[in-house]
Amino acid sequence: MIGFFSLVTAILIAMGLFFMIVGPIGLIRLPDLFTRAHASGKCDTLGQALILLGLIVYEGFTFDAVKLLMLIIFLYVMSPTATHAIVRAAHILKYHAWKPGEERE
Amino acid sequence: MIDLFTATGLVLICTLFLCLYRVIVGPGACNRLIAANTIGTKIILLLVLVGYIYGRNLFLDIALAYAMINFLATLAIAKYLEKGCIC
Amino acid sequence: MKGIERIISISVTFGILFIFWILLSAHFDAFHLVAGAVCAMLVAVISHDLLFTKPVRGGILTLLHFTHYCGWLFLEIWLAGLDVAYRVLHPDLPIDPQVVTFDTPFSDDIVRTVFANSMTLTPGTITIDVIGSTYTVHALTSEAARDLTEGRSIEKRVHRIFPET
Repeated sequence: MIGFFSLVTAILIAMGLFFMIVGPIGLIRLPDLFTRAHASGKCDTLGQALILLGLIVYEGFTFDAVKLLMLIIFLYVMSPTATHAIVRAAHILKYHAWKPGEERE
Repeated sequence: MIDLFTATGLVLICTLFLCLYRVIVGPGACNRLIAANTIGTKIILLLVLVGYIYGRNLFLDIALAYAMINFLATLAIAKYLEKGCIC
Repeated sequence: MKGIERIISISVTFGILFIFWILLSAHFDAFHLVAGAVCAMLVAVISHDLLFTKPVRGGILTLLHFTHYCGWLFLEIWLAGLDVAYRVLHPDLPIDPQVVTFDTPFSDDIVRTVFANSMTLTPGTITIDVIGSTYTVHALTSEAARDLTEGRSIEKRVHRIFPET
């Protein structure tokens, strides 16, 4: 018999893993850099947050849980900023934005 | 519960190889950088999971420091690509 | 910044840094507390003007709006993840990417940053470039692009938390 909190942890980690798998698949399938940034920026942030939330539920109310919460907040601020920095560099370097009907890179 | 964490880590390593494909093949530096950034964020999760598998909460501090270094590295490389120098 | 404002700024920075130290160290003996206080004081005196570049205003109402906004943002992140997952896993890749440029009335740096970051986290849009208050945005679908230029739902949300700008 597994406990209630273990079950919640397992469900959260499973949902997080789904998004963590979708992110790289999008990175491979999507046609150009800007659309790839969508996949990497959103799916990965959500997946990380879900897995770390699962670990918080597993951990309970301790200092380690506070550290995990801090990690989630950091990632939520950092991930959009890093994505924005890369996309801005690509925009200045005049990367071609894919339009429907064109060949994929 | 440890088995679940080990399985999660193994799946994460598999997705890491998918990102590695984009790092090796992807045309241009920006594609490679975005894939490398994704790999870095996955490594943070792997560090936390390793800490739980071996029962050492020291790894949480390493993960926090690694998150900041990964962020700074990405910003620095993006800046370098944009301007040609880090200044 | 001078006199009383400087002291308030230093002490608030010191408080934040010291709480951060306690959370990270998780030890409560005299050595760790004194070492933390000294380090936090040193950093606060040197770099207090980085955290608050101008006097802080706003009160409990702004905090309430901010909490409400965070809840809304959490929901939007869920929708964004599901949206991207659906489009990536669909065999035909139903995407129609567009680059949109539009103006906003925001003048404060923090408001601009919040707006840009929340636009990156909401469904179908990422911020490419910000010059002044003009945003260049990449939208994954034409619906998302139309919402940015005509519906402006994110802009109204941000306007509600920071009403004075």
